[in-house]
Amino acid sequence: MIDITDTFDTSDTSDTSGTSDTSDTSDTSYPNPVSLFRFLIRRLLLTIPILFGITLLSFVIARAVPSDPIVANLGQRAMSDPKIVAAFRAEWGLDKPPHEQYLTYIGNLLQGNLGKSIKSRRPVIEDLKAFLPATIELAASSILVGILMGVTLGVISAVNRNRWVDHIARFISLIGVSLPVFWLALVLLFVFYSRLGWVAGPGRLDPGMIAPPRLTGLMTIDATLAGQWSTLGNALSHLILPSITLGVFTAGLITRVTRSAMLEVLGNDYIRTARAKGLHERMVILKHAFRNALVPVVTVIGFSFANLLAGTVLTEKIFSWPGIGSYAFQASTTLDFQAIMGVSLLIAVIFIATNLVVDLLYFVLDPRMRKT
Amino acid sequence: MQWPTCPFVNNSLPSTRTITRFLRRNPLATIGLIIFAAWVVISVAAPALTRYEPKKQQIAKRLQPPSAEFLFGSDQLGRDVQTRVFYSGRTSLPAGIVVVVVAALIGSAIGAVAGFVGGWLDDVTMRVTEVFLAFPTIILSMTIAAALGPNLSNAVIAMVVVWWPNYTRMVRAQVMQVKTREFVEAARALGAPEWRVLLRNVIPNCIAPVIVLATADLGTAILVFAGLSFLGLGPDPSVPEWGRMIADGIQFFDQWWMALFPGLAIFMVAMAFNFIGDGIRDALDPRLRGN
Repeated sequence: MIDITDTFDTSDTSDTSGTSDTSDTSDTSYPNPVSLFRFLIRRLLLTIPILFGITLLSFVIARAVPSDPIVANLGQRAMSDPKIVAAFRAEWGLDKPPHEQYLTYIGNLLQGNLGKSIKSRRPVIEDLKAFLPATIELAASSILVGILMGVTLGVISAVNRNRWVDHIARFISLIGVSLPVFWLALVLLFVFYSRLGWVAGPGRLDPGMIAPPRLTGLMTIDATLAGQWSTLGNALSHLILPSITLGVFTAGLITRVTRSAMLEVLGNDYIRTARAKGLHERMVILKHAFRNALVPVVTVIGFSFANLLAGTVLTEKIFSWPGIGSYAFQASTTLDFQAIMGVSLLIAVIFIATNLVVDLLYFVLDPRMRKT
Repeated sequence: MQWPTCPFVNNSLPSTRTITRFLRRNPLATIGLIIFAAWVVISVAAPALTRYEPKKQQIAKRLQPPSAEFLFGSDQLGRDVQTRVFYSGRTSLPAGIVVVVVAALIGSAIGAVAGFVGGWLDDVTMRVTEVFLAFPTIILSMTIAAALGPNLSNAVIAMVVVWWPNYTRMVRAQVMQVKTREFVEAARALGAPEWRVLLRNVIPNCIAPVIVLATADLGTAILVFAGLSFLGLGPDPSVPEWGRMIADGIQFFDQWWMALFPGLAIFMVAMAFNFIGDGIRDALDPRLRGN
């Protein structure tokens, strides 16, 4: 079985020099593969009814509402021509009874076919493949900003509890979650792009820049792989403002959770023990306290990352970022139901996958969880 | 016959003394309350505090920068930005509050019944709740608002539809815990009917966490409402509303005052609610209490 005793600071009595590495045992002790496998299977089975529920809910909303997708997708003139309307209905299966439409959709879905978007007239799966990489790139850089700011502020805040540094850090984190993102985006664009000209503006590349050959769809990685250094620089410059916009909000959440998790851990006896035996304060904070505060911090990071991947409609709209959020906005406002269902499913899958990864990280971070 | 009321009932809501002590210990929450109160006054007294009609257009004086005549400048139709920012509180504040209150009432009621009755009703309710929770919030609300047609009440309806499940889940858990307590058993032993036990004994003991969550949600609701409005899914464009004003401001990027002031207004209101909510959460979370 797995040895869990050495990975906890509480049992770390031989540590007088302050150099013993608590991670050297966790590197060799892996979670029990059988229980992990069963856990994974159970989790995946539980998600199936939820995914079906999501298709049903989006189907009901997209179909049972007073507005007609025909109005949203055909112009006024085409609407007055019954032939065009009938052809549109037949093309999208709108002439069949709703339960038949839904069953057809599910049948196609089980074969991996998400249907066709009314707006782009392409398969939804192709649309999602085209829009997802931009969002992944933005979400990754935003979560980086969020973690750097949030964890730092949270730790500083907890260590200096109730002193002015703490109050300022909490104030900043509350401001972060109170700023309307679309407004922050505008202010940043106005100041740093329009007035100061320090960074690039909306879009992923300057107009006239030639995009690197598409391999991953992530502009920065594709540019690096192609060795187009000026394109890489330009892509990074375009990432700065949207990442800060989203990162500030994320940092607000992470700061709050990091602070309370750290406060909880810092009250424990083993922290006093660590201090009493003369460990350097930095070692106590980073190794003994922070490592044990990681579980809630990782949870909120996972949650925030999933939210960012879910497409941040407002930010993507302002920065003309061709991501999932922009696609979802377009799909929702034109009642492009196949696209709505496709994008909802994708986001639900992203959420479920992120939750799963977070749960798996618990196994790595907290040896107690491996016992069950 | 008069059933005895449970002695714990009134303990779930704080006394005036608790509230004053709370405010003294939480300067940020006090600031939040003051900002919120100020915005209530501004919204109610908007006609007295502004010099123009919110919808009055003076095309000759369009896009004026802030000056003595137009304190926050004028917009693309020559409407006074300050007037519109002040009047907007009459739309955005009630919208945010109505969303949270209605969602909390509906969600709590569903959660209370599910948790109290249990069995298959509970199972079905929780599966439905999970689907709503797994559904991407912004897409769901955008789709509903777009499908019902963009206007104020539909934006509020769309938000309520995505907002209730959090309350359902929380209240259900709370009810399941409370319903096993002795005073509930005592009420039953005295012969009180089930609905009465639920209404008079169980629900009053589950209210406190709902209030905490609702206060913390108000700031988010204001932000989401402004966001929907910004996307063109809120009230009619002629109605002064902060999110919509910012959307107009994007069209006139160099006229920074058009977007700056409504944005500051949203920010202040959301911050006020977050200050209050954070203070309440801190006060109630024993792990975060000072030594």
